[in-house]
Amino acid sequence: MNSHLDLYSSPMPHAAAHLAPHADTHLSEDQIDDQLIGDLAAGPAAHLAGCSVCTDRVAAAADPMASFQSVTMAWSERRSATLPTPSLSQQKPLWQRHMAWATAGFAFAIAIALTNASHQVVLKTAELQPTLQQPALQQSAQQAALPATVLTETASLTGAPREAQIAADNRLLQAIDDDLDTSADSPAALGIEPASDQTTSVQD
Amino acid sequence: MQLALDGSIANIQAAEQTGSELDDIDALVRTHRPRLLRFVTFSIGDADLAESITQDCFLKAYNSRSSFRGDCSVGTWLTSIAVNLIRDQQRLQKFRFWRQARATAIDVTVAASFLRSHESSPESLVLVKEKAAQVQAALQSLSPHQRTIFLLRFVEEMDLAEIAAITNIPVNTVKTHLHRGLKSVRSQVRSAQAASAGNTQSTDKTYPTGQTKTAGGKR
Repeated sequence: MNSHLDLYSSPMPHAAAHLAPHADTHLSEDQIDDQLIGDLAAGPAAHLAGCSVCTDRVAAAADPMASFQSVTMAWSERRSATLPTPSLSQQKPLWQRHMAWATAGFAFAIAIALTNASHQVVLKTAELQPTLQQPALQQSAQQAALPATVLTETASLTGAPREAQIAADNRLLQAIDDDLDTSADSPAALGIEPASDQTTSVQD
Repeated sequence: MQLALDGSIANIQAAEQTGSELDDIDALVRTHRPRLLRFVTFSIGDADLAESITQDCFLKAYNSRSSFRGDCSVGTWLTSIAVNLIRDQQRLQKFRFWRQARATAIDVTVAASFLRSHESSPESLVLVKEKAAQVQAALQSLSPHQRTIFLLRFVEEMDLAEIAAITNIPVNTVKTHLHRGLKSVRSQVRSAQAASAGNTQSTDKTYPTGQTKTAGGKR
């Protein structure tokens, strides 16, 4: 685990510390970035090899990344241990998956076709039925073709039973009204005195 | 002549070894999944989605194992598959705005508790935890491209040529992305360190000494 931490931060051999060059030749921040990226030019690299100050700076710059690396690896190891191995049986070959989709599409198309066909049959049956029930329906068709005057007469003829029905309904409603008429059921009609009159008679 | 023969025999043996490694998916998963899961998780920032992508990556690798030519290590090959899957996911993500809200956050401070404490002192563990959290926060500000390349370099420890090959990007573009990403991460980590009260000076001055102590203490 700590090998990750030490990855970028391996300290310089102190034997090389006496080779430390002047401060103005130390690595710039960009050169430190270059070193971390793995793209440091030969000149600065040679300086780095002999400068403990720059080595420490590079180590300090790399340290957060090394910490991140070790922490995330610990997290990932733990998390990975809880995962199942990918199931190969669930994964079908590509042609089988295509076949399944094709079958599903075909079944869907057949279902649509069948629905459509049954709908057409229903429509055709409905069209054929008038020819089968000739007498009654032809009469109504002829009625539709009659002139307006005839139609008015027909309406007056057919209106007669409706008026009779309305009159019967009215009679029924009238009978109900009569039954519900409260005048006949008033206390006076039934021989009962109002409560206030009774009180006065008691006081007397 | 003998050397050439030895070389070809070694190549054949290496190819056979790789072939057998790819044939055994259990071993493949055991060896490479933690590293791959970490890369995918911190590339996309969603732990649940990362698990699904990682599993998918192994299935893809297993199903197309015959196309593996052995030009690179199995780990690098798996990473390249993961990079492609992440790219596909990022393309999809543009059209899935709700995904952002549902993303399962990764708490790196919890992750720090998984570090084996017997290897480091409690003080250094706290420091490691802080720095890891700072880098994680800084990573979120990078573009997806920069983040992936940053992780390939600083977490997967790949060199520039490998990163260029995996991402199908020229080496100079990789360098540019890395420079920008690193600058951004370093400046954010610096300001986070400055913000934590009184830590700026002590971190700069005492950390190398502290690290030496830790290194000495564990052995």
